[in-house]
Amino acid sequence: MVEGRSIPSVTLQERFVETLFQIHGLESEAAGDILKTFGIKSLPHDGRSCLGDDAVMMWNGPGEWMFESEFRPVEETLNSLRELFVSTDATVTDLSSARTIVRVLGSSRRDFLKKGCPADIDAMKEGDVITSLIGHFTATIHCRSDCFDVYVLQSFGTDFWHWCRQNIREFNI
Amino acid sequence: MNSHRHPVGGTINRGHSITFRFDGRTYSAYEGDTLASALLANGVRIVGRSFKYHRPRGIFGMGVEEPSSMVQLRSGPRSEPNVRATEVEVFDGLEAFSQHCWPSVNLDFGAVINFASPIFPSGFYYKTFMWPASKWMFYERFIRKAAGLGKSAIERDPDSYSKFYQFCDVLVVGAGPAGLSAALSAARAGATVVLVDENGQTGGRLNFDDAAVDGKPAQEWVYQSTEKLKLMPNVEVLCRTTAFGFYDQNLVGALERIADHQREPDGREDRQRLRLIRAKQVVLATGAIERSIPFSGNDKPGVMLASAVRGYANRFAVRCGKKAVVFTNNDSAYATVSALKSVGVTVEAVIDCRLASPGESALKHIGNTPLKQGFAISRVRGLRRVKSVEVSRFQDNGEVIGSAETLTCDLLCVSGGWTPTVHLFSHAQGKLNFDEEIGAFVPREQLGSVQVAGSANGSMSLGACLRQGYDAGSFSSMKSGHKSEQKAKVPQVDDRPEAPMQLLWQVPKVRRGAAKRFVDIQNDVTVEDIELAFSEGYVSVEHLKRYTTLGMGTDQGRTSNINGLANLARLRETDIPSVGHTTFRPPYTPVSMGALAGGDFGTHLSPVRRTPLHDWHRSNRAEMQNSGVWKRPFFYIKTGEQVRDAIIRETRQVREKVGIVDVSTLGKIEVQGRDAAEFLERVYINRWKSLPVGRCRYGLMLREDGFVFDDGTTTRVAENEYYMTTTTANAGPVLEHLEFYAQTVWPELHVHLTSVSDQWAGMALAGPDSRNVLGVLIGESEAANENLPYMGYLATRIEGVAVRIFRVSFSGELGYEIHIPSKFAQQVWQAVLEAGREWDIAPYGMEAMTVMRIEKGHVVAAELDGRTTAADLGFERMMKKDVDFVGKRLAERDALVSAGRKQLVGVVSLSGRPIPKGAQIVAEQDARPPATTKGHVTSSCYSPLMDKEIGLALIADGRQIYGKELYAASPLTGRTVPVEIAHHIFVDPKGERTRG
Repeated sequence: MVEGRSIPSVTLQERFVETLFQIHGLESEAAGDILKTFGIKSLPHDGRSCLGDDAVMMWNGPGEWMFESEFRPVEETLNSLRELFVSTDATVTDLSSARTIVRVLGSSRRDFLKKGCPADIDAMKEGDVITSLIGHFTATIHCRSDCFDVYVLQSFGTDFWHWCRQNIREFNI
Repeated sequence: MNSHRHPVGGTINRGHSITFRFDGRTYSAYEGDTLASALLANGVRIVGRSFKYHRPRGIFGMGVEEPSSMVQLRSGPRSEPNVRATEVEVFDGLEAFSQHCWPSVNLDFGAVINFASPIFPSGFYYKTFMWPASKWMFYERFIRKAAGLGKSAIERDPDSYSKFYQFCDVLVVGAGPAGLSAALSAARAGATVVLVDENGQTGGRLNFDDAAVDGKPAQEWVYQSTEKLKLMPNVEVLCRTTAFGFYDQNLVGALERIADHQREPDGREDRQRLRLIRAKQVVLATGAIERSIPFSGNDKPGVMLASAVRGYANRFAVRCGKKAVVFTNNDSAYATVSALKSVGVTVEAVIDCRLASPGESALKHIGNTPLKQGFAISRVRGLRRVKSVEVSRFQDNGEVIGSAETLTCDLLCVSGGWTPTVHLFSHAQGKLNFDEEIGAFVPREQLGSVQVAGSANGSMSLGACLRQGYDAGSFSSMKSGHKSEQKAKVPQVDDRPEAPMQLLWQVPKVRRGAAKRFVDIQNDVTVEDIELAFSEGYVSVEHLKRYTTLGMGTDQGRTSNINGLANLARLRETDIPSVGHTTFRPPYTPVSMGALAGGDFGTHLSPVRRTPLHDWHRSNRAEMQNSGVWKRPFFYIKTGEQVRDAIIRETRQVREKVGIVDVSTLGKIEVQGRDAAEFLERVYINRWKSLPVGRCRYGLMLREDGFVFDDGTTTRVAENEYYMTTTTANAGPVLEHLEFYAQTVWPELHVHLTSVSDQWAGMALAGPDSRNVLGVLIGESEAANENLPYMGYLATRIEGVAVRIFRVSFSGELGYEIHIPSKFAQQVWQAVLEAGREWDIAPYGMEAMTVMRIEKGHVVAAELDGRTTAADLGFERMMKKDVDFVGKRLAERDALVSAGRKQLVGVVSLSGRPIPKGAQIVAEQDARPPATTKGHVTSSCYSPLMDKEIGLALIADGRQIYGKELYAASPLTGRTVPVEIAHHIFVDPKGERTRG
């Protein structure tokens, strides 16, 4: 790819999370106590995420967040959040079946994403979240410490996986 | 080894010899050669034939400027036409072919056109083939056959291509002295730098010229600078990468040729990559291109640019001839003399049109070579290549006088000065000024985020290039937020002043009938063509370009445009700035369609959506159908069954027993918030506040203009939570429409919208036995009519999975939609099939569903075509009279409520023949276009239930002509079918089956 650069590697993993919600209309003041329940320190804003105890809250647009937990059961968590939101105007929607999540690991993970994403991948630091395109697919990209998590609509999941396979060859998976 | 290669010198790798083939003959070369240098080294002089006159053409330049030596590269599926031999890096096994000649480049029958050239001037086609105009299509066949260069591969390209998005602080285009300097100074300041160069190595002209930087050979400085840059973590050096276009907000398109210099890409590699680089600052160090001088016979093989001859000698140790003459109007060509001598070429004379002496450093290059000042080449002799040249005295007024002296030579090196490469600057909307000193257009001023440095800026000396490069790099890094702590040291060079050049745009013919004087060698445009165009009134530079094709080829007139403009200015008796220049448009050099497409072709041309049950459908013999980007089961075929049989079987299955269909593609939107009911009240034409929790309702949405937008059922699943379904096609547009109103029109409403189309898979269970099947799954009492009535909703569990069940029907039978979280769709689908085994349950596809919805008179996209109103479709009673909603006002326009509008009706074939879809409804059986139509058929099918061909149609005042006989005529198929107008609901008009 680049003169003098050795062939790097990228690996892909499909992630399966128990719980993925869309949250709307949460106010920072009210959020404090609610998020503490999940170990999340504060409500993330402007393209950021916040990690908690087996939970992560990702900013997903003005007044919108994605809430993800790998192991917390869906219905219990959903009911719990709805109860916590009762005195607010916030709403929560279950999207646990709605996304295919692909984890991109490896030293060339950024170069791999750059093959399809017109956003500035190099500028993303740990905890950053963007919604952009990868190839033809609308994707939410979450930058973690050593990987990226890419969320696409589950109906596009198979096709997105094909796109990944087509574009990963040079990275020697 | 090569007949025209000096035994020593050059930077080629003589330890690695290579064999390649040109026109079927095998030749040898060295690693580091280009195809052009290798052909010259092997004594190949005629490489191709010209576009129009089939004149023999040799190698003229040595890089991107090459107008002449275009070849067909490779064979088979990788074959590529119009590749410049000067830019092809030779590899072992390379195959190249001359193009536009038959049977061979040396004996081309097409050259007969050259002898008839007096009758083929500019505009020949426009003038000749206009008469009679009706015959143009006839002429076109022959013109098309004669036109074009090379041939595209017919086979599928076996290689892969990709795209790559990149960001940086400073993008430097061109890695010559100015570009390298700019990259070094910007990188040292801490900016992230991308340096791109179209060549296989950095250095630009320094690779070809004998120059010194900081007292050392310039190539050494190039090597050290490049190595420094490559070691810096904030720098990326991209060779073989051409920046071809400059777009808005500093987006530069660059084509990276990853594997073009190899026989084929390795297994994992893309062949080419389209890089889209967005930079905070751009430094354009794109260099300059030497131009030619038009004189009689200046296109013959053996006439070359002086800089190219010098480069071939210095870098490749190639002798482009045995005996040379140099013709120039400036000092730069003098260095060619010493370069030629270094590889053993005799230089007969230097012909300089200037009367004044050249600069001191120029004179050092020629030693004792005769110098003829105030002379010009007036004619080149030789049929197929240069044999000799005629030299005439040249006067200040541009005339040549006196008898000509003949010099024998086989190589004529020409320099008409240098033209800055300002293409990208112009793409960036930079304005140009004409610089009289160098006779070329140069950037008028630096742009806010674009700096031009070096010879691209009109500064031709090496010292100025280095200095401007450093300054531009430093400035750009500072503008991008990086300030260097220490001032960079600009390398020192021994720049000696050059004598002024004399602008020379053509050498007049010494006598009538002398050979043509070519301005554009690629398109065979001569000075005489420009004069003819001018005499015919083409005095605008843009008209001149199009009339003569000057500068319209793949070289975009790099060596010719300025000569063309100057000659037009001469004819108009004005100066060049008054004539102006043509518009520079991307791409700078051709970009392959493969690179533009990247991976977006074949199955990846557009994305494919699959339902969670896709694999089940495929493994159960479903024929899949495209529905937008979705894949949906069309029908499930059994062994020995025809398609029609399968559709009829599936339809009867539902009408008589029970069937199940995948409806996961429906759009689904969660509408939540304390104002959700109010919101729905405003976007739908019917009432929603009164809908109790646990009930569904059919809803219709209008656009602002009063026409129907979409329909679907919406369910109140909780006090402040509604579950809306939309048509598959409008899932996205409906969400956008709702978001627009929620966010901008009624921001005071507390309503949140979330697409849950992918969260919930859907399956419709339909048929007289559907309740029995549901009873097995959730219990008979749960499924009972009392508990789950028509348009009722139930949240329950199947196989432990939380599901949503809606008592709705699209088929007209007793039916339920079961919505399941997608993860569990297949599990529940299997459970339903298992539960229905007792009642012979079977899956059905979209076509059976379509048949049943036509029988039931349900509308879909064919009827909701953006031109129908609620009243047209029979929904006028649903519209609220007392409450406002989107589209209400404009739906009340006279034109939308007046008589004569097309109304939804049914049509029944009276002949038993299928009713053509899209057919026009006419009163006369033998009506032929143009005829007055009463409407059109929107949908049609064979109804197994009625054993008739039926359809839906939109017909003017259709509801008032039930029973009338009309004709469905299809001009496309030529079929006309007599039809009877009927009510649009053919089956169960009272809804007894669905409510049962």
